[in-house]
Amino acid sequence: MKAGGHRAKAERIARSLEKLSPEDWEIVIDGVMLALTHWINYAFHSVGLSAETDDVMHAYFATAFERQHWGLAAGPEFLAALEEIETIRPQHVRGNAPTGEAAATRALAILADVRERALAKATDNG
Amino acid sequence: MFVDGHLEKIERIERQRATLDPIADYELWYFASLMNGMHAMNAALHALGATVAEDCFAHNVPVYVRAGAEPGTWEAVIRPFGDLEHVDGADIMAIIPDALAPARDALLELETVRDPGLRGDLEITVALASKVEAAYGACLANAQAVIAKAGGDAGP
Repeated sequence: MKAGGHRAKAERIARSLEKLSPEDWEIVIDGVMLALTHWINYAFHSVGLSAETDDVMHAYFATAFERQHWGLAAGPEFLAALEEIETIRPQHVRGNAPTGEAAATRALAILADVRERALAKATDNG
Repeated sequence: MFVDGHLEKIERIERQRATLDPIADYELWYFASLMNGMHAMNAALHALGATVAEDCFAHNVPVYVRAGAEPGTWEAVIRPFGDLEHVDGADIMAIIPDALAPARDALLELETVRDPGLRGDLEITVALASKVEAAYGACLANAQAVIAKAGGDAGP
């Protein structure tokens, strides 16, 4: 998918997330995870860091080289954000651990930060 | 999780799904459909004793996470098949009994549009949403019938 397509998807998901609240933590957390991948791919494709045919899907799929490369070129915050969301998914999306609402609140904050970083990164590089 | 935990999840996620529009909010609505389908399948598999019901949460099966020794901590562990994340792979297909074939097939149909619709350029149409809705309904109907017949957790 082209960079613009990723941004459009991320913004679509953001509009959908506005219909939910942190009390709906299962879908909020999964929605944030998906939106994060689109913002990351938007940023990475925009600066030529990854090809349009090579999308980031999960942080745990990234190789050690990719982590180092992307971290140095774009900052480690992108993959770190995705990794944090993936870490809370088992307990709160698939499982019934307590504090799901707090986890969703944190997820939304992560998404807001990554959105800003992605927009800034893409703008910096024209 | 245990059967009751999955059933509670289904109720919660169904409420969230109902607030979303199948077209305008397709991505999250689809997530809710697949997520609930898997909760229903997991509950039914537990009820039949085909998978282990326990306080472990799936994270790239057979890796699970469970509560650590200190409150608020978690540890990764390898466990026998408990909650499944997806219906894929020969080892998982082999443990799904014939009684759950309709739910399995419905989940497989949902999976065919997962990445194209969530991560790709698949056009979001009424026909696509109808396909998802039909598969979702078929999955839950089959799994819930199996759970009702089995009467709850089969036990470890």
